Amino acid sequence: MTNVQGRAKRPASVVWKSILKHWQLYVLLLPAIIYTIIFAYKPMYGILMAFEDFSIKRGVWGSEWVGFDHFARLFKSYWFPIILKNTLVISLLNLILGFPFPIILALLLNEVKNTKFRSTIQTISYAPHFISTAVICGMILLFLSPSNGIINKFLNMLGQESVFFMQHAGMFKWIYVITGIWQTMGWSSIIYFAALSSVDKALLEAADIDGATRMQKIRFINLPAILPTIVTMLILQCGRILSVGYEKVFLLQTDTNLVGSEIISTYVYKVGLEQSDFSFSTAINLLNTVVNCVVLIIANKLSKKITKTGLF
Amino acid sequence: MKSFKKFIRSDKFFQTVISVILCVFAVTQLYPLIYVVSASLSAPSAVSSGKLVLFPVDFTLEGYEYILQHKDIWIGYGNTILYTVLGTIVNLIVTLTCAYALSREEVEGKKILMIFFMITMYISGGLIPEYLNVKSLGLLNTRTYMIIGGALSVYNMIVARTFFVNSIPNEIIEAAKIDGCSDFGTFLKIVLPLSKACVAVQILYYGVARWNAYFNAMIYLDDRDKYPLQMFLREILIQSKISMDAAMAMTAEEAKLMAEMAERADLMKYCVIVVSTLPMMIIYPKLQKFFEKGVMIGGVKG
Amino acid sequence: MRKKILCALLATTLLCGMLVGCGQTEGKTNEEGKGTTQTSQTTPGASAENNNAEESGRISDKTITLTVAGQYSTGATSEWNDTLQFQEYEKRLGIKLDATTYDSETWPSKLTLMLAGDTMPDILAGADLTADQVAKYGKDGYFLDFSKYLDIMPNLKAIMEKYPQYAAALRDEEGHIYALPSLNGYDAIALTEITLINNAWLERVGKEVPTSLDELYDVLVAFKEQDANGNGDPNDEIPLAIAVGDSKVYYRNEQYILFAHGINSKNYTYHLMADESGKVVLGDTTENYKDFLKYMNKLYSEGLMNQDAYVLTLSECKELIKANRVGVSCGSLDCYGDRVWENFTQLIGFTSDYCENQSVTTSNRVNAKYKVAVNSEVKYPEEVAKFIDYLFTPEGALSAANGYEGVTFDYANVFGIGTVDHAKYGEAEGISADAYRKQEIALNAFSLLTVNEGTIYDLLVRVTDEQLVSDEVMSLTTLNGMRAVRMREDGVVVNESFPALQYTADEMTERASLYNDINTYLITAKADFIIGERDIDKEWDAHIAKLKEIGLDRLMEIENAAYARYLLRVK
Repeated sequence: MTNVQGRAKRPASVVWKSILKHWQLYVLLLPAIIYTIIFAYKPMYGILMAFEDFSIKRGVWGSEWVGFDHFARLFKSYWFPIILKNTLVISLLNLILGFPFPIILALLLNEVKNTKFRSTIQTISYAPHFISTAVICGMILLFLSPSNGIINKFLNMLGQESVFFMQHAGMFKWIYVITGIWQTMGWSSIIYFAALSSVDKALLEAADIDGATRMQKIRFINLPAILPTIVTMLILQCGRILSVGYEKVFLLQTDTNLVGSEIISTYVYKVGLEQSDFSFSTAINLLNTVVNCVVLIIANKLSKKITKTGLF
Repeated sequence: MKSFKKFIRSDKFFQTVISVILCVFAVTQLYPLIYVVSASLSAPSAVSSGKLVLFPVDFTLEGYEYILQHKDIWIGYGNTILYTVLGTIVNLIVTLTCAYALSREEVEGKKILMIFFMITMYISGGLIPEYLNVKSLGLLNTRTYMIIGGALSVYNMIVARTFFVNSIPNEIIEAAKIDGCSDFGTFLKIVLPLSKACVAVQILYYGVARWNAYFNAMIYLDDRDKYPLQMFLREILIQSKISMDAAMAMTAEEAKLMAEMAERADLMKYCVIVVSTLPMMIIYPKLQKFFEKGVMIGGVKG
Repeated sequence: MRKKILCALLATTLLCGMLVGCGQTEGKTNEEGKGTTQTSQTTPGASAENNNAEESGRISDKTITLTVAGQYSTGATSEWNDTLQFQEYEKRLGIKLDATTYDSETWPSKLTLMLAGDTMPDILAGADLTADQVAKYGKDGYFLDFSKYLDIMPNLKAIMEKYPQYAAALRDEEGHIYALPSLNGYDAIALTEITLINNAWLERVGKEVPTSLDELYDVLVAFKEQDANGNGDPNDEIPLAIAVGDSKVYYRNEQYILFAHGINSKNYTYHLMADESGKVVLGDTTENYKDFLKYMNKLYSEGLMNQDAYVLTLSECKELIKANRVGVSCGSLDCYGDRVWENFTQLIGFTSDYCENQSVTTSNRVNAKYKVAVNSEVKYPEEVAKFIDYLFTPEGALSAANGYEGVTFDYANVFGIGTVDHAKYGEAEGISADAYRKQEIALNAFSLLTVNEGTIYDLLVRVTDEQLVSDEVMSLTTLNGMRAVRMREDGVVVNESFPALQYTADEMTERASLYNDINTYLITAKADFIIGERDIDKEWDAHIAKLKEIGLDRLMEIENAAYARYLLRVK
């Protein structure tokens, strides 16, 4: 985290002196910088495709310039308001509901004294992360099936009618988000758990002597210790607001829930089936990027204001 | 009454409550895992008809037998281990050095550097320019690119940097400097040993991503003997989609063959998860001990 | 409007010589006469000799090597170089093919990268190129233009003359031929739908195989009300099962009902059709389609169709069929037991107010995707052209699908008709005939033309009615046999579906978004109307208005322009 209060402007000579003094730190930066320039910045010119009628033959530099045509095509689409809304709703729901769970899990696990029990639970909690999306979706369809699904069988036992979960456009976002939380919370909690391991033991001992309760210790010692991590993760999450992956949504789409499940990435995929158009998909990615960056910058600003820390 | 209140406040009660909550949680997480393992040992038709609830139905080892016969799987395993081990080492070197440098107050232009890195999280050149770039570097169809490709995840780097900034007390670094330690020395001898939990997280995140990666292999590799495990597993998964084509089969024999293949692929879908996840599940507990409380700072200060 | 579409004939079907249409009574289009017009070959042995004599010369005296990149078909071998087919090409033709293959999901990106990275091999096989890609890459100069080599491609030329719609798909506006789609040259009708009705159920409720929409309705009602499966429970029957829960390939029980409403389209939604004047309309906006939706809605609301049609997955549906819970179904053949032709009857279209005849629609003879293209910088253009031409000879066509007689198959004699049989060769390796074929033939690679000779389609055309229902023929032909039985009934009419059109680059770009917008909307609307989420009578006008708002008129302009150009090319 950068401290908000930046150092006052200093004369160039002082800056150079500092650089020379700490030259080793800059050497440490080199591998990452070189890698980034060669593998990320060098091909970045490809982003220009968003404004071109890209032709493979003529390449990025030789293709015809069409300005904002591709963006216009998206904005004109009948589905644009729908997919934008769906993407935002799914993404926000995921953020609001999904974000706290890994933190709570990490805090709870941290309180467990029995090491064996704790590590067992942890190992188990990562398991769903390793199941591939295609299989997860197959399992979701099976579990939610009206006739064979375990959930509807349970509802039937309670005397309820079977629910056609996958048929309702309105249920889609909940299915997507809840299964998403279930699949990723264990994995996401790793970061917080690792951060908790750095809590100063002496502090906790001192708190014990002062007679602090568990809750007080969590609130005043553990939580502040992982707060920077929480803030970092939150800002990064905000910067992904329009990036909802295509595969899981696509596999869970049915004819009847399309109105609630068509999102930007599935839309682009389907248009691409008709015409493989690199320019169009690049343009939409760029649009996502712009929105994501704006949200990221706002989140970073807010965070600096509220918690005095930010990413940059 | 008083004793009850005391009991509620007591450590034992607290532990019990937490344990119960966590157990319930673990069951929801464990269920799909058991389901996958059971499905990998059951007849596919039993799975698709919802007969499988918890334990295998119509037990069979056919899926595993088939996978083990598949000689490609072993080639894939070898390649994946190579790419994962060497790749993760490269990841750690690039990421941790960068994260540490960016965590130091003394570094000039940190903000600009952060933005420099973060831009790459959002803007990429896309498939074609990246392919041409790899081609121009002569790295197409090489194991080298499988290892150095994706050397830096900016996301992971930020996680590491957050850890360095917040969990390594400045006093320790200052003390090291007073003792005449160079920046290299401080990083290697003081900071890294104190950051075992952080390193463990990085190994886990990078390692698992490497283990599961197939996209780079799909795009940049042509030789099957360089394919990682996931490429072969993907081929098996693609086969399971054959059940759609089976409907188009014209004769009973053809349909039978296709249905058999589809069933086998359905079965293997689950076996594949078990086979590819098992090593990760075994390695994980070994990393876990680095998360244990007080490994670092308490130790130094104590 | 209604009447027009009702009896509309597709101009294409007229041209390809299959005079068909709902109003006309012309059954048995797949009958004897056609088979004999082929270069007559009665005994397979003789045919092989003939071809050998014809093709005695190798294409190249010195063996030349051509590099190939291709997409292998799922379930078949990926090691094309190891197939007997490729080895025979080297021996017989002097053409050594060196192939790198990719699975279906990797292929599209690999293809693009090969072009972008200038690493395109000599031949792309099984390439699945869209018309749009062929036009784009052709114009960019990536692909060899076969129109310059037609003089040394007599067999291709003959096929183009025989099937003008194939020639129309090959040539672009300027007459270039950059890539080749596959052509279905079977004379028997190749249907892909499987919709089977359970004979035992029919017997139990005392009904005949339905031939009209009203009869179908009656049968389904009887299935629902009675204990049709005879298990003692009159309530567990699903009269008609549809499963579109997870399959993006739709299961098409409803296709015949759609045909019966005079819409001759194999699509799930977006049914293009042309009237006599050559004007293209979208079938989904017609009164016919509205009535189709009403019929489906009636089935749904009265419980004659499974209520979970839109969430039922394919494998769940198959289990239901296996459990004898379904009366009319379309699963894959493996759920119907071994002697499916005895226990089930294929449905074959229904008569209705719209259709005097039971009508079925076949896929278009020309595949919409292009299979083979050649690098324009290939070292041996003439040899490649000759090789491609070879694939249009009877021997070459057969080699791409089945290999060579005496190497990968023998002819089995069924009622005096020779059919390809891999069984002996498979047995030698301990695998089934079909598995053997998938191992020794690079399926999907070069199969540009399918021909009757040696295939089950030859059987279907040439055997008598009694022979057709024999176990020998049925076990070989199964589904097609079951269809053929029904197709031989009087008054069955066959239509060919609307051809794939070629669009200009500008049209293509505009169409891609428009089509997707409209089609996605049509998919949701169809489901909503059928399950009664929206009321068909009340909301139909609003539905049409919505389509116009999305851009239907503009889209139809594009389709009409493309179709007009297509008609010109066919002529």
